[in-house]
Amino acid sequence: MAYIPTIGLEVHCELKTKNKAFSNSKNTYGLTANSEANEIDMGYPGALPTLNKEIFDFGIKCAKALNCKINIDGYFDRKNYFYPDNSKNYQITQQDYPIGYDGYIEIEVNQMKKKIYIEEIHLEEDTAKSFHEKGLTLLDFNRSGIPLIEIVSKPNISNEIEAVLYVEKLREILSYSDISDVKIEEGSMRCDVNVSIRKEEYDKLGHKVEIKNVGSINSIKLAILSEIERQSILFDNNELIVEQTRKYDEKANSTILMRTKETKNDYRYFPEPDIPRVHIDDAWINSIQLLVLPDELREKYRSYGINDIGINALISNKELNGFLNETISLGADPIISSNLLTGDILSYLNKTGVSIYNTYINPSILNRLVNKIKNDEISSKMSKVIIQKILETGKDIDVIVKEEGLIKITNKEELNLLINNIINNNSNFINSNLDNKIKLEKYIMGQVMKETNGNADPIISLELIKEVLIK
Amino acid sequence: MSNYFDLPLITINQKLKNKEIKPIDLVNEAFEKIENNMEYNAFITLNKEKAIKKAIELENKEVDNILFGIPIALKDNIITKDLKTTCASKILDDFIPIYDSTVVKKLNKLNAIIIGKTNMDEFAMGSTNETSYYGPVLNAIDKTKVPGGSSGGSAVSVALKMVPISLGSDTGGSIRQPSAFNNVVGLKPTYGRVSRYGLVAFSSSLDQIGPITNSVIDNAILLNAISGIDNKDLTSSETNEDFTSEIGKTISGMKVCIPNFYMSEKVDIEIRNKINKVINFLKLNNVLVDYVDINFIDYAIPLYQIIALAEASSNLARFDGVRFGYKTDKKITNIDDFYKYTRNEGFGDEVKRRIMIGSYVLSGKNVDIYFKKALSIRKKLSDNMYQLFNHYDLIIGPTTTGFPYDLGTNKSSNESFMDDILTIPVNMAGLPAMSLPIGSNKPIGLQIIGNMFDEKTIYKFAAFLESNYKRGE
Amino acid sequence: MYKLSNEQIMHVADLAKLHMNDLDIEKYRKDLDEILNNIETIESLNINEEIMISPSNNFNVFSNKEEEDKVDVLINVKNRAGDFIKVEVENE
Repeated sequence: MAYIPTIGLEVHCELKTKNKAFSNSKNTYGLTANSEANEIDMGYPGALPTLNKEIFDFGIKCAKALNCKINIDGYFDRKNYFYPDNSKNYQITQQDYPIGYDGYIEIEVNQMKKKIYIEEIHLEEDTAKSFHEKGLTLLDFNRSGIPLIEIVSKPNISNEIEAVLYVEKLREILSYSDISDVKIEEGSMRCDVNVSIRKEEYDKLGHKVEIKNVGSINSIKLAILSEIERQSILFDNNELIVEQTRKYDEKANSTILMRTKETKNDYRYFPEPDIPRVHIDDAWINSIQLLVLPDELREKYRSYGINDIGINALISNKELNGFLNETISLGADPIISSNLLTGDILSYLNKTGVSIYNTYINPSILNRLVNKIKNDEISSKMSKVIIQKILETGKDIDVIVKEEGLIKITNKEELNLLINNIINNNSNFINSNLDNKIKLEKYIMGQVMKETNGNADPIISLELIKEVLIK
Repeated sequence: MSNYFDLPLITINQKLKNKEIKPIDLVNEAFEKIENNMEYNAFITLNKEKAIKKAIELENKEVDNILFGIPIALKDNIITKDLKTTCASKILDDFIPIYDSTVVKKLNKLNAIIIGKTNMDEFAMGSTNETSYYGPVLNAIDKTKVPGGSSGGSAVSVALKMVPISLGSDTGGSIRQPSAFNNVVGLKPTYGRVSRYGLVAFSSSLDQIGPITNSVIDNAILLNAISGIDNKDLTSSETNEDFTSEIGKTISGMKVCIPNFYMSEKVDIEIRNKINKVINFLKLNNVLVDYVDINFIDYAIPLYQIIALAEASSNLARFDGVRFGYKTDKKITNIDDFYKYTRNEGFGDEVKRRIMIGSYVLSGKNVDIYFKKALSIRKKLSDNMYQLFNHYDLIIGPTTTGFPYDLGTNKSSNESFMDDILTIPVNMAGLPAMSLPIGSNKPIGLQIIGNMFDEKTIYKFAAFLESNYKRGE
Repeated sequence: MYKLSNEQIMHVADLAKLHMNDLDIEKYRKDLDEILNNIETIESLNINEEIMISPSNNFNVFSNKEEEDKVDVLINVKNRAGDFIKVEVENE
């Protein structure tokens, strides 16, 4: 029997601040274990938290990006529980007054827009990184105290497809706003998925099961499907679905029980007395600028006439957008610029792994190239060669054109001579195909291109070929 | 043996400046006196080697401030880098801190000399100094009695002049009550006056570090040295002032009030009589004395039992054997047992009781029924106290309801809280308060409570009494 | 009549991560009951207005991001594995 699933998502993202949330330790990655942890991060007796203003700057930015209302009075709370990765055995978080609430983002399902509502977003500190082996746990407190933003959706996600779209959209927005690196594999984004099912739309929501820390976007889809199936079978057999926490096992493609909610943690939240309140006024909120968000960019690109494939490639490769913008602002044709960027240039970047800003190409060079293409001075085939050469050697366009002999041949006399030569040298083939004009045109064109290394102007060549064939 | 510690700091300072004495003379006096008074058990750790070394280094330096070369004792819940800090608990028996408290940094900069860490109730939980892992401290006046707590060691070390000055901490009366029991001057500053960075937290919204001395002016001098805003303690504040500046002025024209609660039958009649004598003296000196009622003040102890213990249950969670401190030897098969055995073995009974109560009042629905409600009542009580200062300069009354009682009296945990019934309301509101000795043969403290950040007025009033009120009468 | 049942005391001991057996329960019960009775006297008060979290009136106090001296945070760790802190439980 098909039941109606309801999905909710809790996503934790590491904020790209310079320092940790409640201490001056640096927010960095991949150092020697326990080298960027001070007495505050380690929960030493006598240590007190400080407050990094950056986390509120980021929090306000995130609230704006996710269309949330902002709580102008900020308080922190202590969430009390014992665990080796928890340096004080309490976590400083926001329970009663999250920085943002009642927000939404828009996803597009089957060409229809749907708002996924956000219950709240709040700031908190991360725990230490732990590595488990049989009976052994290794702890690295470099991560302890790194600021997180937790984004809690309302349970209005209807299925695994919407869930994936939601997470992808969230990643896009947070990445574009420079709020977080949102890399699930690196741990800068972690997703907990809540799944429940019910028989009818008007029924109360079923007991929800939490699937903790799903390892990839694809796993989110699979985990949801497998959990829906598991719950459906229980429902079919009239068995109770117990509220619990599970883990998704990728190999088995199923969820496994971690703990039931009966042994639910009693977090004993209470207001954090060591951190005075934060008052967020309009001036502060207004000072936090949101850069252009992906959906706005999509609109802009559509208005330029760039096609969807190009748009998707641009949005997926964040740094190309700034580059494209700068190139267009110099007067370059948007469509040609975008084609070059998302075509040959992007392949080069993907192959070499460098940033576009670390290559020999800059917006001014790209602008010149685009103009030459637009003015028909060089063909698109030539432009491929030129781009490769620029990226590899950094030489100037005109130098490359000269060296590679990439001048478009537009001289009609020269071309006519060439065409006639080709016809004479291939008289048999030509004579035997006199009735198939198209075939001959193609053949001769092919030969012209071959002889000129692609430099013959195709439009003029075709014209001349047609004229000759008429005779 | 010298007796320089009988002299005021100003005088010691002059002698140092004149080169009449050297810092090493002071350090030697301290350790001699400590060694002659070992039975009081006032110290947990002595800093002899480093203190001597520092004293010798200071001989070539200019005497540039009044605390230069002055020996000081610190309560053992004040973190000192490289010097064992135990909070009188087995769970920190071998703990050597890796950083210095802000107050210690300040004292080091002024070149005061840290003589040692004083004994206290375990994690500052208690009012008799009997819950210490290292054994009780004896009362300086009568060895068979309790010294008060939790800053018992700090009060006794100053009372017996093992050191001229010391620092204690006060969460519900832990500076004032032992000061009263040992006839010394102890001040709990306004909440936020002294940085708590490096004070091992008991109750974050109630704790303060404060000075314990033999005279009012020395107390103000020490407060000058340790107070100030600290970027590492977000609850700290600055008012940039000299606390000695009103000392010596007359109190004529001042207005003080006494809460009726402080003169109720709960208070020993002898103490009330003494307070009445002080009142007469005040009236003779043109001080207006009124009796007032403070609504909700009689709920102080349940408020304390809820708020202080709840915050403590959270603050003491970090003691789990993983990153520092004692850890169990038992073979354990899961992390839960690791925590439970470590903490059960490492903490004393009173600490365990309080952590359990604290966890209880925050658990599930209790957080609204008890904790948040207690915070509402706290606001009402505090507002009532603040409002008094619209009409009065100070609130006064006794510090304690009784006299030091026998060691080993074995009061129940709940009864022990009653020792602090007159001091707790002050911490609830965050107001500053001093205990000034006014007894002669028996130790009696007069509690002088000032408005927020108005320690200056407390010192003015206390100094006048110290100079002019004859304690024998 | 006891204020707290055995289960409640065990639960609270579990929250506080303190080992508790039946002997311990009896040892602590009387004191816990007495204190809880005292705490409950606030139940009769009908106050639920503004709460006071701290006597401090500070707000918007932010870190000044001073450079700090490095401290050796591992020096008090009893169980280490290289630069990591180790927590070991025995397997049955």
